[in-house]
Amino acid sequence: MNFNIENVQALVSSAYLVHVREAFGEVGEKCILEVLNAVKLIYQTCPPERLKATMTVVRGISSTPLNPVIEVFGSLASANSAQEVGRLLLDVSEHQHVFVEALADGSYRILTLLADLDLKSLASTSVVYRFERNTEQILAKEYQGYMPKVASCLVSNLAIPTQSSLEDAFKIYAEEMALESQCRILRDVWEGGVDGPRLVLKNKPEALMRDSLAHALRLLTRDTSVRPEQNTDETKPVDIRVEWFGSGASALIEIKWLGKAVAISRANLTSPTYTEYSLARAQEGAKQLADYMDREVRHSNKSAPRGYLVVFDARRKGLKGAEDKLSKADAQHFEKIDLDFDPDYAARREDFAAPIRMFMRPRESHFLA
Amino acid sequence: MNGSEFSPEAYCDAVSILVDAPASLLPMSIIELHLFSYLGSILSLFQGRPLGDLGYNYVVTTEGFPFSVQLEEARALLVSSGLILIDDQGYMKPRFPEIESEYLQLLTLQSLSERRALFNAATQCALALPIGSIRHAVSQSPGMASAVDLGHRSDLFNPDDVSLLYDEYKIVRSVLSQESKDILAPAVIWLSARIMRGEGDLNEL
Repeated sequence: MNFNIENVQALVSSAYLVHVREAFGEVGEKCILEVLNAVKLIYQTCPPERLKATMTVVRGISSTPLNPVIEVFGSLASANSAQEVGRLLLDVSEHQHVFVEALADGSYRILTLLADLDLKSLASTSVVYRFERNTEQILAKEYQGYMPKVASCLVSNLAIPTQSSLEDAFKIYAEEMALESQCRILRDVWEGGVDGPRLVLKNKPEALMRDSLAHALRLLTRDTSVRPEQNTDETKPVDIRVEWFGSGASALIEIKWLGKAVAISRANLTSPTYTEYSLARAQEGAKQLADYMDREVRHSNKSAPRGYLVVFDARRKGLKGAEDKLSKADAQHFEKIDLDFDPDYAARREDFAAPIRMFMRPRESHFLA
Repeated sequence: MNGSEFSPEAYCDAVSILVDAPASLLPMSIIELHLFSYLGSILSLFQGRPLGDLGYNYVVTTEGFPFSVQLEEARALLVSSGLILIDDQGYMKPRFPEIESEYLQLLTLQSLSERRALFNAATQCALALPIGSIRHAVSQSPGMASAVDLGHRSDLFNPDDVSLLYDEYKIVRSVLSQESKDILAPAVIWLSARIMRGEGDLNEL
């Protein structure tokens, strides 16, 4: 995106802070910030993935601890902290609707109903946040809009799990983003699109994989600087460099992909050709990374970086081409089969982490019957 | 930059950021404090305050973080005086009510009290956007971007970069119809434009 009026205009139209302020003035902005803070605190105890019911958090524009706006709808429970609200939400069953009002004295009132309320009516005197089936809405008077997500694969911008270790961040990325290609950047790696069969990768998919992983690591790690690198040749194979503030600690991430990718732009040929990589490619990546780390240590006074080989595994058994149809057994054959490295640098050197394999699932609806 | 000079502005801003930070942003890391401080300083420029009013300087470190020696000295002073508590993982929490009393004393100086809204807005941005995205957006802003790409340490807020920051803010302001005293919404839109520029994800819904 270029920093120009058209693009900024597009952002403003979906900027709920602007709309809430337009609806209720300065006090509206204060209320939406209190709502966002309350939601973030609640999610620290009850992550949105654990919510079975709908959750609505409101802040009445002129309500007080003695007269919360939701009291007219039923009898209220009280909580003194967001943690207490979160614990209560963990026990709420499906088909219920929970309304939480954040009050000026820091306490909360909670209303649990079997029938939903009219949110627009509630929003006439309150700022309203609604979480329902992995979507988030903000309402204020006539305004009703979805909260834009920073990462499509994360349930909520307000509940991003920050990890202290890269290994934990890789685990989340592998399960939540790579497995079903549920990242806006990564979904473009497939020939035929993410909603196609997901059997063959597009030509040169590594840049998208790098950008997707770098994006995720920025969100999922704390106090890190995550920089994608441009590979110039095989002697400088590192794709992402991660540095931690203050400690001098750093990590070098090399990305390899396995499977079949279109070799040249298909527009130029009548029949497509493919590049196919298997275990040897991952092994080659491990060796390149180990060699590069040796040189990095020699040329730098900083403490030694730790090397990570990340392998995007898109292998399909017996696949001939993009138009092929596979059985479920063949399409998913490699999902649970780990890579066996020889030499195993992770076992031989302390600065080399165990390689991380991220399987990328095919689309089940395209399997042979 | 002379790091040995005590900066009252840096001290006040460090206190302000920690006292006013929403509870969901605590405990705060050192680099988050510097990030919010740097963002608050950008917002100060956006409000038309002269660069000289900041009272302290920033560099971008070789790792790509905005950092101020004077702010770090102020933070260390607050830790040694017990107004900031450090937890087992090295994260900071303000010690209430002591730090609040200190802040009220500082706010009697008008020049310092006027800064409060700016640094308050800087932390509030992290209610609307994930802090990792804010960190990335700031790292791609004028002055930071080229140094981060090259892994070079360099001074921030040089005249060309400040001019580019003004240009970007002019674009944001031209699109907003609200009164000019609103600090937060323009700040979030300015950051969002950078996040969208880098990842193309914010316009999803």
